[in-house]
Amino acid sequence: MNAKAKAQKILKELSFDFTTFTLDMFLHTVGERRGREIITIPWDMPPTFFGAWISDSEEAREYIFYRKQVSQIHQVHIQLHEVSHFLLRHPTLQINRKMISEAINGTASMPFGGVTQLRSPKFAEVEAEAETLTHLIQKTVILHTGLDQLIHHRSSEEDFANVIKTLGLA
Amino acid sequence: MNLPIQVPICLMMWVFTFIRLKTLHWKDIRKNNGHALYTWLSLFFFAIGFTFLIKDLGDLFDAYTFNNLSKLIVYCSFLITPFLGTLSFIMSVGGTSKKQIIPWMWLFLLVSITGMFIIYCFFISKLPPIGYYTAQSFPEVSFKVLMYLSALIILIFMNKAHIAYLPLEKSPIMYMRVVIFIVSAFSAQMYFIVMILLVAGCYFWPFIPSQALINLSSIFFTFSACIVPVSLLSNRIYARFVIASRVVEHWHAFQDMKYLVERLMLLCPVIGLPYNRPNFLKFLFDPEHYLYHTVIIILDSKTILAEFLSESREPDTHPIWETRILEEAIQINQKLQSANPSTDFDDIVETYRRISRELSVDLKKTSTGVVP
Repeated sequence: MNAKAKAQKILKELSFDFTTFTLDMFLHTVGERRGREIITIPWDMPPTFFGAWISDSEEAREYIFYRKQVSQIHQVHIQLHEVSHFLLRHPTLQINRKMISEAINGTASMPFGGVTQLRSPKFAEVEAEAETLTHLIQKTVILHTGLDQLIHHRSSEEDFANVIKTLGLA
Repeated sequence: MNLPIQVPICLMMWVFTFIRLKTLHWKDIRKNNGHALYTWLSLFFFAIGFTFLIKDLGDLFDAYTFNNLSKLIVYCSFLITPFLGTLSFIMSVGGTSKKQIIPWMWLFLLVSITGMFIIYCFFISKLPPIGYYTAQSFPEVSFKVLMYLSALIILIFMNKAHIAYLPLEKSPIMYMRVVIFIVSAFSAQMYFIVMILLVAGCYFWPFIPSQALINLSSIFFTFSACIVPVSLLSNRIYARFVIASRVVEHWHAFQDMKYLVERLMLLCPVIGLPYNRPNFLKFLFDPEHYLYHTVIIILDSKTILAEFLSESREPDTHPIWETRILEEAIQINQKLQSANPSTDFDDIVETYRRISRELSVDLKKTSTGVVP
């Protein structure tokens, strides 16, 4: 199965309502479907790393680290990319709560070196799959919410927006 | 305007008026002080005007009531239509200073209708059926010109309010809607100007080519009649037009960013999926997605490039670049780092589009020996 077909199958199985898409809701649904809690953590990532997905070996948790110094739109993209790895059941590192706590407290560093490096040529196939699924998610979001956001984008003038709404045009 | 055009337009107006009545949220009307109701009433009066404009129906009505009463109804309805539309708009978007004019607007309408009513009672009701395009007597000229002039003044005021509001509107749908309001009011203005020329001009100067003016007035009238319902279509339909109208703009933005993306892909080949270069037809079906993908490539490359050029980076991990490529990388990095677009997607696209154009111009200047 090629990357596109695989991505389409996963998204179909997920049966997420994209008309009400928010990143939090999407991550929550993904976690719920897979019986795992997805925790996103903004992180000071090492060079050439945008994000990383690490699985908890002891508890039903998945950790998604994303670069905190980049723009918001980029952060969303990184998180979607990492959750795509999880959805595609790609291999990843296993850690536990203790290791996470130590890293957060600064007494240890995160073992990012052992994680599939984002867009590294070495892992071209895995990365291409994740990126394909990310793009399919974004495309579906744009398709469903783009029009909706435009429709519900209220007028700059509150009263004018209310008139349009009362007329049943909104 | 002849019957085969009048009847379908009239039916369309009534259907549209009832559709809007059905969609009206009655419970919210009080919340916005009846502004929405004024807009609907404006549509309602427009439909009434159209009904009595049908000659056979008007003549039948007059035969059972008073001479030319249908004309008085038509003229009053067509005067009330722009009046209520303007009133609703000013009450919604006008500031305190503009709202102060509302009592004067009511007075203006009252004076105009009273004037028409007086002329009707004393003169027009005693005349045999009058036509719409010509006037046979001075009272008839006064009756018609009073209405046309009053409507024209209201429409000018309406358009002034719309044009003043337009730059303040940030919602693309509402912006388009206000533009349609302006076009519709402008077309109606032109209609009334032509009608003044036709009725008063041809009465005082019979050599004026009346048929040409009649044809022109029919064009403006039909256009105005069709565009009024368009201005009150749902946001859902407007959204599709807005998206369609943006495709060309998005295509230009995509093309403009191409240079920057290509240079970044050359400098940072580690970036994952290949860059899509769709043709216009392919782009047409998914413009936002292609733009989004392009922006993500730029954002990824921006970060990687900054790291490549970072002084803290270990020397052996630097990519090996020729001096010319290194200079270009530094130039692109400087431009990307100095740009701080907001979180608004359109602003992000606009920023990188500008940078791409600037870089492309710089390259042309360098290659032609002109030092930037």
